[in-house]
Amino acid sequence: MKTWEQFIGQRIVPRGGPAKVSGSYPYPSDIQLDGMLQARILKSSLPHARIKNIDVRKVEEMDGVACVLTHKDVPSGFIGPARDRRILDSVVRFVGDYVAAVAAVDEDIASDALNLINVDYEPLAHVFDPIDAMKPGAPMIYPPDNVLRGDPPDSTFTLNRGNVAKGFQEAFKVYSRNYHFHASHGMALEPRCSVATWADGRLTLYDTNQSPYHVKDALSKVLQLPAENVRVVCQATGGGYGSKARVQPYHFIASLLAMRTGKPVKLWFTREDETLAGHISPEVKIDLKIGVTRDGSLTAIHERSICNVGGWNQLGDKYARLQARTAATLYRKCPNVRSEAYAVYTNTPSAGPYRGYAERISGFALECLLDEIAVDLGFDPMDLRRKSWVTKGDDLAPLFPEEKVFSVGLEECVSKCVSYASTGVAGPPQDDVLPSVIRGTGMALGIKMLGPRLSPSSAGIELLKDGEFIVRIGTPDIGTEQQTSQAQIAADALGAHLDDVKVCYADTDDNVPDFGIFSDRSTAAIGRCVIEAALSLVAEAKGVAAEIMGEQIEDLEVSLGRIYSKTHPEKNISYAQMASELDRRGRKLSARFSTNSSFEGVHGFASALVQLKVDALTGDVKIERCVVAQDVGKAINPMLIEGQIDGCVAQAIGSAIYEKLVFEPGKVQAFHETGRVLNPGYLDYQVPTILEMPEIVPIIIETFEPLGPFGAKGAGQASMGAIFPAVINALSDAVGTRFYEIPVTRGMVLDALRRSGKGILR
Amino acid sequence: MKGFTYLEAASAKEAVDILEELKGQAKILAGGIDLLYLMKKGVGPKYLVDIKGIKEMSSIMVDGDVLRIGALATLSDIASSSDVRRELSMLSDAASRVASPQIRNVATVGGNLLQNVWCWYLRNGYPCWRNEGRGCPAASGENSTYFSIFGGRFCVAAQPSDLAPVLVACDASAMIVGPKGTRAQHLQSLLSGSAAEDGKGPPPTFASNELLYEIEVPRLKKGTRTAFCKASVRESWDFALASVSVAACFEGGVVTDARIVLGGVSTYPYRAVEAEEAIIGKQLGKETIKSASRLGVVKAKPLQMNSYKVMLTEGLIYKALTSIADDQATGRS
Repeated sequence: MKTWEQFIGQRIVPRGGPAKVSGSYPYPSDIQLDGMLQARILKSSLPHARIKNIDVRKVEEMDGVACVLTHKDVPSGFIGPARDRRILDSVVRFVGDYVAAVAAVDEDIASDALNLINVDYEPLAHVFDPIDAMKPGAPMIYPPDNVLRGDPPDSTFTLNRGNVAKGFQEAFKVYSRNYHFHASHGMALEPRCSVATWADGRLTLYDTNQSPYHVKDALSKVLQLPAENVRVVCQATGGGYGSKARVQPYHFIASLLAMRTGKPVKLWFTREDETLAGHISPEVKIDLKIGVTRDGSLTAIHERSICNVGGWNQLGDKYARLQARTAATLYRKCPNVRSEAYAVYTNTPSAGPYRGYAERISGFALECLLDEIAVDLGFDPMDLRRKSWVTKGDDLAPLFPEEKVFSVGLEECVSKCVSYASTGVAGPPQDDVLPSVIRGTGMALGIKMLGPRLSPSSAGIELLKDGEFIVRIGTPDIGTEQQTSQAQIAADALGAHLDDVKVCYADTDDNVPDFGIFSDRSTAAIGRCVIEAALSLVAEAKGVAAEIMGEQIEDLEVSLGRIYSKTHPEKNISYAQMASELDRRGRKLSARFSTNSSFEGVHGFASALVQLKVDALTGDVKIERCVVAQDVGKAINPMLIEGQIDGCVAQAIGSAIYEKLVFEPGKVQAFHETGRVLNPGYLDYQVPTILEMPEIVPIIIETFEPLGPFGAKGAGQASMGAIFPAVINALSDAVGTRFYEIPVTRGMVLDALRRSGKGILR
Repeated sequence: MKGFTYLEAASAKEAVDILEELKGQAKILAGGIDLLYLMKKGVGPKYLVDIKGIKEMSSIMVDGDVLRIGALATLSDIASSSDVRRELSMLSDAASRVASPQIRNVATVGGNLLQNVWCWYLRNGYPCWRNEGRGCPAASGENSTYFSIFGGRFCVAAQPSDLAPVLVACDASAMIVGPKGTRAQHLQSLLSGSAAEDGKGPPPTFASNELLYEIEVPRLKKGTRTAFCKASVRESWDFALASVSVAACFEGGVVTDARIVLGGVSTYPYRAVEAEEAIIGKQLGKETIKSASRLGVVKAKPLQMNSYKVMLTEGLIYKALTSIADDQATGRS
């Protein structure tokens, strides 16, 4: 239908863009309210300890302090389904864990007050390494077991297809490698911030998160407030990448401080708070074994991964489940796959989702080892993969044998990327001064599974009396600009002008429940609801138009804000005319649609080609070009997708060669702060800057996903999973040795150069 | 941030008088980059003496045989000064590689030379020698980044200034104003005091009632070539993992005098004397450069996690000397 392609696929300027670049976008930290208190959190300096006593008398006597909360002052229930985390607990489980909170008239008093809280700790034995934590006799973080169990509790996160032992027997050659992926951090630019108000028995939380309805439900349940008396507003979130996906203790603390004092409370994280008590990307250790035939077919993949979820479980079990699925899905043609994933508690900061999630980490090991195999056996790395990768129509055995994969753009992604391989990147002339520059090229694939199974989404649409439409959706803007892409979807589905479609988002009083914005789900999940709501509104509008125009409903069509007679287009009525007519009659047009969407068969795919250079004298790595092709089903807004690809490039480069949380290893007993993150700030936790950005070539591949709106699927994460092993493969290509520990630091590059004989001096 | 009293000094003498009167309770506020960072972490003096109003301390000028750089000159001033570019291009290069443009616009040369070390234990408040405690957690802890490969008696954090090794390579002196007038001290001895003695605070040769007034750099002898190479994690923002500053004087294609100073790898600007000796009296051929590069790190005793910096430093010396040899061969100035 032509009318459905007016705004879909267009490069519409993001609606939040001007406000974001001019600094007027309303983040919670910008909120100033009369009489607002400032709240700060006291963090644990020990990795594992029982709080024997906590004395806050000195703080309560301080001028300007309004309220102090310790574990004795808050509801003791669990905050989430994992049944481990409480708002505040009598046991601290990592350096940086919450101990207490203070609200005061200003920030300085609140900060000073923290120093006057006297905590008497009984230190407990601690464990940092997830493998150590799995051993008998290890210190227990949450007895009786450090290994997370699934649901039902006796299940583990194991996937089996075929028989791997048999597969390895049939192999011409079997490769077995161990990979170590260090803990990192998404380092969202905006540290967490909540402003809570309490008035007339109603709690309002202005917050920065990825799932306002989930936060609302949790607040209502744990604080025992009627659901209608809790409102969460979360318009702008300054980056989340998964780290702000679920409810966290600070949400309750800000709320309780407001409820106890009756005053508005602003609670914000410092950068250090954000790094320690925010939500890190997990350390993962992977044993990977792949068998391959003489002609390059994969006979078996066996992956055993151990994910360090730290001091409490924020979706760590989901992580393990996805980790187990990655290889089986991406290499569907491999008949024998066994994947065991363990999520393990330790005394390190709580870990959870970060862009690309488990698929990124599992995929990194897979894509690096397949590259190594291809080079070893003399195959083109993509030909080797092509023999085994998933294609259209494959099922998802063994987990969901009834589900089919309908759209797979791997072939198109790869062929587009490969076409750039022969066009080398010209180096700047100063490279010629020394013969020390060596170059490398690498490729890899990425996959991202869409959204959790049966997760709710909704949308509401209303025709206002001036002829404008209001679309209400439940997700915040974490930078992906759903307010722009959903407006495009709504405008085309309504046959309206884009300018006449306003989008309200992420205010739970709008009552359009949504599971949250993560796992690449929002465009697809919400988009479908927007279309359904729009279609029922259009049907109703046609009924009204038929009445006014004296036509039959089936003879009407909508286009660009007007309802026409198909046979006599000169007979028509605009939405604006209809709206005022309806207003005169005291009627309104509105529609809602809610569903529990499942996208088990829907996957984002990507491939990346990375070209880089290494200075063989200094180990300096400069990524010169990233060619990234992503299968997005249908590009609702290519500009927004390119922005997502750019973001993936930055974060993937960071993951590959810069970003690593450094923990004090505990060798210095005299210093007590064992297990502390030594680099919680931007100077020591080195994220790439604009100067580290390569030339980026974003390529959008459209495959049309039948389950998505207008054929669209997610577009924010699959690239991340492809770029980051492609960087490692390119690096291996340049220096001539493989890397099994990530990120690859300068020391590792120099060491590799020496071992491979490619170093100039040693 | 703790409360403090803010004072302004209109002249160097007034600043010194205030310092004298407050007896160690005051700190000088110039660019404030490192000072404000530490104050926000809760480490702060009772008094701040703002010297930004002392105009003559910002000047950069050629004065007879010396280049004078006021302690208040910003790193951007140095990077953009045509005098510095003409007289001492490696100082321009080094200044333009410090931190980020925003920081360079504010940070002063005095602050750059006298800043505290960038040790993540110190910056996270661990009670070490430099922070009212004892011992050095980095010596046996996480020491892969900004730490020495040439030992350290109490503290193993590297001297963090990018300008210091460049200025030492030019034999620069610090002009220091105190209650008894102005004195000159070689920058090398001034900065070598740091950490080599008790590792605490400013170098012992620099009293709490003294003010770094300006840096005096002898103009390079005719035939001198210089080079500055820095390796950092990223191109911007970061301290040196290692840097090399070379000033070598040529006569008839032969090196007659040389200073090779390493930054980021020692608790003070480290003169690689063995490397200097290896090139003096020789033409800078490939083999000479190679052996000098090796000799430059011959005394390295890396810590447990930073042995890669030995190879890195060797590579940087090689790069710097090769660039000088190349300039010499092509007659480029």
